[in-house]
Amino acid sequence: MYATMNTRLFFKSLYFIGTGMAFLGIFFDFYYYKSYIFYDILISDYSYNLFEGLNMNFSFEEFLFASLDPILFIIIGWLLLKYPSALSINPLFHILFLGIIIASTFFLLFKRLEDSKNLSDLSFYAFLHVFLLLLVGFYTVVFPMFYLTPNKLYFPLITIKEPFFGIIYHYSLGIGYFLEFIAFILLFPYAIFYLQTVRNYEISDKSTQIIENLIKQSNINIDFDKLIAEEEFEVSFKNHTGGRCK
Amino acid sequence: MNEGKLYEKLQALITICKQTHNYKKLADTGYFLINNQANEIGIRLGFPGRYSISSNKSSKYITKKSSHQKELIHEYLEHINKIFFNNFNIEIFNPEFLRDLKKAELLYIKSKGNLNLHQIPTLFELYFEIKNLEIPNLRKKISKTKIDNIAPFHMYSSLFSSTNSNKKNKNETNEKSGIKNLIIFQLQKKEEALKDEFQENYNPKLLKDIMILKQIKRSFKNSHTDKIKLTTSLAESISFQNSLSSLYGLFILGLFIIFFCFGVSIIGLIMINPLLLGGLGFFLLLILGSAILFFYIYWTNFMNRKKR
Repeated sequence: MYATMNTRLFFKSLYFIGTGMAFLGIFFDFYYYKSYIFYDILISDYSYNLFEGLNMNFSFEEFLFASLDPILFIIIGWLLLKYPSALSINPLFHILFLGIIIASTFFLLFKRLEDSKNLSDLSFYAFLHVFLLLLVGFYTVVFPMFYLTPNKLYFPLITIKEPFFGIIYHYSLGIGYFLEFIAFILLFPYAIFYLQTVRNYEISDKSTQIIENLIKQSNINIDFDKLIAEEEFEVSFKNHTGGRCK
Repeated sequence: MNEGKLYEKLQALITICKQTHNYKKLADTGYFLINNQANEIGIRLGFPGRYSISSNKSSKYITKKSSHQKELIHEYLEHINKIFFNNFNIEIFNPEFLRDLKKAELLYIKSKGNLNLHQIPTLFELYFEIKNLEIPNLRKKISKTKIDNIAPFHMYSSLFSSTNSNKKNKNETNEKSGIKNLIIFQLQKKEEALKDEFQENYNPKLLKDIMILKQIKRSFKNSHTDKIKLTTSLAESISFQNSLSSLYGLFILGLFIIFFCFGVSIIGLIMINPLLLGGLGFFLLLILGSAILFFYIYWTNFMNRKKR
């Protein structure tokens, strides 16, 4: 596949879109959980936001109204007991994440790889971009694995019917999660390419000595003296024994 | 080791190996000399060095710097040719030479270096042919006088004198873009002429000029500020430009990683509650299927190419 500098620009643009998505994703809900009784009466509505944790979007008035009916009261009480444990990530972590997103975008704009005179100076920025990628990976992989699964919050999208009371549970991942998911895909190529370039390339003065060293390093060393000496030894040995040797 | 000394020692080795009938040693020496020369050419043209092939166990007299599995010599040189052709429309190595090299190299590898006396001269002929090829050092910085020799920009400098940006009107901008196109056209013509000359007669100086001219043209085209920037930077490196195609591979790899990890988390969920398999089976199939597909695309298009 023949690539041009436009390819780089294209993937760099994808990286910017990715950072934008990762930034927005933080403020959207990551998870939704709703349950209905008798197929259409909403009895619980939760959403998970990274900053606010798990929210109940079910008003107290509605709960009181429902509690007039003893059966509903029992069911809602039972559902409230099923409220997932408050295992939320420290908001400072999300703030750090936002900071990394901003820093990464800023450095990608102003610390241009292609204009650099000394690539080793960009190592810090390369690792910053990869760190951002890892953080996005954390939200997309660690969140469902270590938060949703232990709390029996199913994903990506599932509806479960409870036949006795006719309770329907809806579980689904939210917009925020999907934004982070797409962000990972968009961030990955350029972040890794940036790191690879910083690690694999070196812009130096390219003096003759450096080139000579480079050639020396990659060439195979042929020891002519040793090769000739070995053969001479064989010839003298052959003459001495009068026969052919191996 | 200087050239004269090298030839002297090579001659001595050939003579003594003929006496002892140790043709394998000669074949190894010839092959590694070609390898070293190819490496040198590649490095001088701005490519990463090529290491020796590890499948071919070198003799105990010859020490290898690395056992890294890399492309064969003829593949390496073909690769250089291809990149130069894509970028500059010129070929560094003669196709006939490459064909002979391929034949000799494959024979050498197939016989594990056990060539007979009649086959060995071919290796040395190829070595001297590649040795005689003069390659400019393209890693050197470009000096201003060099640029002026190829494309005298001071001729056009009056057209691009700095004017107050507030005074610029639309007509001026149009005129400038017209002149800019004209200069690009002139540069193109000059480049074509150099290319024609180069095709007729190989000359390392011409090759260098073509590359510098191409760089000037690109910088000029990309310039939005009426200024021509000329820098020896990563963007001008052929090797870097070639590595850009890896971005597609990384994109596919990223898709594979995220789909695979997501699939694994769904598997974890199903393992905790197997009853969910009915509801999540479709998602699992879709996600892991996609992951496998992306991996296959990456493997066939990018991983294998890396290995080659």
